[in-house]
Amino acid sequence: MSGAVESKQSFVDKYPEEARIVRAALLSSFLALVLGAIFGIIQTLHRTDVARIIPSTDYYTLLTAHGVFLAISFTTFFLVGLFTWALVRSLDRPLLNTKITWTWYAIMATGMTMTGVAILAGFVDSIDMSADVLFTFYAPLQAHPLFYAGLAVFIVGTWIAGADFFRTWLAWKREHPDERIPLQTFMVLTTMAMWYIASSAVAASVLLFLLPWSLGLIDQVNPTLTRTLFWFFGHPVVYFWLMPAYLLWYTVLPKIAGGRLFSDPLARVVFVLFLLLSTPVGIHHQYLDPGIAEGFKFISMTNTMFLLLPSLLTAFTVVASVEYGARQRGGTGLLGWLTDLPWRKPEFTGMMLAGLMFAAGGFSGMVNAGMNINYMIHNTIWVPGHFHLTVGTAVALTFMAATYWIWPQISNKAIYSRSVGLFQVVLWFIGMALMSNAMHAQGMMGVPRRTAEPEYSGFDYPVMFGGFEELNIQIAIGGTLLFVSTVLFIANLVLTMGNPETTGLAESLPPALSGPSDSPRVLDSLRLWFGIALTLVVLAYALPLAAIINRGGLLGPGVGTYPAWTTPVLDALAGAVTPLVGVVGDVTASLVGVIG
Amino acid sequence: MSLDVSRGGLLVAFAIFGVIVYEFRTVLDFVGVELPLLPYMAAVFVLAGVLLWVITLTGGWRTDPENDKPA
Amino acid sequence: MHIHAYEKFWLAASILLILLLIGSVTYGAVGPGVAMVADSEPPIDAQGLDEDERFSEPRVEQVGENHYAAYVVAYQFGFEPSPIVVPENSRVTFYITSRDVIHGFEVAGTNANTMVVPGEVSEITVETDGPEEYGLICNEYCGAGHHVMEGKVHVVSQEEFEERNSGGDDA
Repeated sequence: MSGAVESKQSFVDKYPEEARIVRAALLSSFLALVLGAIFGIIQTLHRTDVARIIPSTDYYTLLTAHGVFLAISFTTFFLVGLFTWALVRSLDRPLLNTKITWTWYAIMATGMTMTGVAILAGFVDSIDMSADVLFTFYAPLQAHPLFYAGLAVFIVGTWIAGADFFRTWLAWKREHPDERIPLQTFMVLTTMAMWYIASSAVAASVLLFLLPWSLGLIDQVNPTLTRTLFWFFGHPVVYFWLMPAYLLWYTVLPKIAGGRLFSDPLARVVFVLFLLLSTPVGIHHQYLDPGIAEGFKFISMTNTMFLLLPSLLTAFTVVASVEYGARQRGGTGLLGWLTDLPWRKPEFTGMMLAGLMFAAGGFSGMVNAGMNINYMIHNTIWVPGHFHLTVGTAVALTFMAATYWIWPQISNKAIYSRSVGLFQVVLWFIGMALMSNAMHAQGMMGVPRRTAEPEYSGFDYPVMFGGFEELNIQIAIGGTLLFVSTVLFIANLVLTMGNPETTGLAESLPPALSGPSDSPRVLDSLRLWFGIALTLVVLAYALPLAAIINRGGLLGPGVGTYPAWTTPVLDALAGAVTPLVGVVGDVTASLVGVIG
Repeated sequence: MSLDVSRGGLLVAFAIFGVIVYEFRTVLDFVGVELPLLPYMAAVFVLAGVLLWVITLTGGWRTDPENDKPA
Repeated sequence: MHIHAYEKFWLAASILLILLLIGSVTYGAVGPGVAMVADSEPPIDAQGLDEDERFSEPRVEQVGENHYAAYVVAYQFGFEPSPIVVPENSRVTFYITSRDVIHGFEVAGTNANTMVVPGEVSEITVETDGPEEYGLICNEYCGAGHHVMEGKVHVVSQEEFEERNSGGDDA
């Protein structure tokens, strides 16, 4: 949004070092995507009983890896890469000190490697290390200390990244004292400000409780407290994933559509709303927790419903901006303008399909947020159905689509095949529709999430929506299509990297129709918004946390420690139960219960 | 009459149409109309094929020589 | 700050939707009276369940006119008692706790669903209908045997309930 003289130099021409950092971050992100996808296909086929090639106890190692690599590594590395590009581009100046930048990147990579090793060691019986605790790592299930240490290191790396972004902006501010913050930079800074608030709680939980506990320095932890601290972070993290996607929808998608952003001020308002409201809602993930008063849950519910507002506003602005672009290209009519859009471009179609799917994800999210209706779907596979639409499509598909647009500018290499790119994004949409629809339906039947074998010996699920088996087939097919789509994406990118360098790949971003000068200056007072955000968080969490600590103590009411790695005995027993059905299965299950 | 839509646009339109019709089966199930999956999905594909044929007959789609420049 | 007319309309519609959603949840809480699992029960010592009057012997017992209490313990990897036998057309309050890690308690096909946290007691009250057998699922990952962790909830006729309970059949 510099609005200055458009240069024919691409981003990598102007800022080669920064481009190198962006590429490194994106490649780290895609490495996580590859691993996550491989685990995802194994999981899908295992759960739906199409192909069980691993013992069911290893499923939880796989699931932990899938969750951590995709929901933390893939998303965050892409974010820091994208934000580096957006900040440097919109401020039209290099980073303050790229040594610091490479340092935070290295710290993030080190942290994620530590955690990844801890998780993957769970596959190797001879190594006495594992972290079968899933993405949420609820105590008293306990992982190897390396898991927690790696996460802490990773988060610290992101904090340094945020500081890097803020410092670079402050340097720019000294040179441009009275100017409004360029929109993309504004988005980067508000997102990182939200991240500092959000990640503080999980960092505290890991550093003060979980890590010392896993090292044997303290005896026990308070499960409700560590859960609550996790979800303090666990809800805003989804906005940490979404806000880069919104940055792309607001600032890049209109350009690809051939138009301009409808309203810069409203985009700022949306990001401020996320800074304010993302964190004081975490208790909506704990609607069914004992130990937390209903009043706190009700407040969290109302906050959550208001958090719908910035997303609903985004829907309007994005569609309006794209429509503007279509009409610029000659589109007419109430709906006819839809045909005057560059659907052949994977970057465009990917983002549009991601946005469309996000609407569905938003609706299932409204159900999740509806405190008492949450009883119907809590911990069922409805929930993964929901978040595969949101982080799995709105975020992941947007990131893939954006890569088609941004990679040429940060490398001077044209995309290997845009047709394969288009096919890939459409395939993702179809695969996700199949998988997620069936997951939602199964959830309504009560089928649980996070389990290696959702079929039970003692009962059958109610027959709805075609039935359990039929829905399993749809999940398996959907998941397979998603895996194929991922393979195509990665292959396309790898082949692109082998392309020769060329010129003429520069892209500019036009200014918004309604520019920053149309918005009140107070929107740019980051300190004010940060202060209000902190206040809201304190209001939402001080009393619940105090109540929880009061009830169970800082270190828990007589709770034991349960290392989440399998002993050979448990392995064998669980393995024996799997093929058995009926009465024999029941008996073995109770035996396992007595010994375990 | 010819549909003023590009090849890419047609692909996307069919994908969205297919997904909507597939999801519609869930809605039907919810109101008590249960339809078997495989014949239903086969019918979705047949319907898409018929629509594609109709579009071909009435002028087809745009194949503009848009070169593969980013955006 | 210029806001387009359509945008103002959309903003108003969005806020209306949000208020409707909050209203519907509020109605659910006060009308049909769907209460959330909360902190009504005091915390207990997860490693001292044997000394707790309720959970040393997980069972179902009558506590009022057509009101029953079911004391349930979740553990790696099952539920006690199993099956949980309760009478038809009655009110049943479940008190559920865990001996070890966090579990879930979900009566498949119903909205009886709660987290089970060691150190805490989850209290939910349900109204049973006619005789039926329900599956009981642990829906929170609790370790390597999570997928075999299941139980049963049997809603039986009043006569059958009295028969089975006086026989003292806690599994």
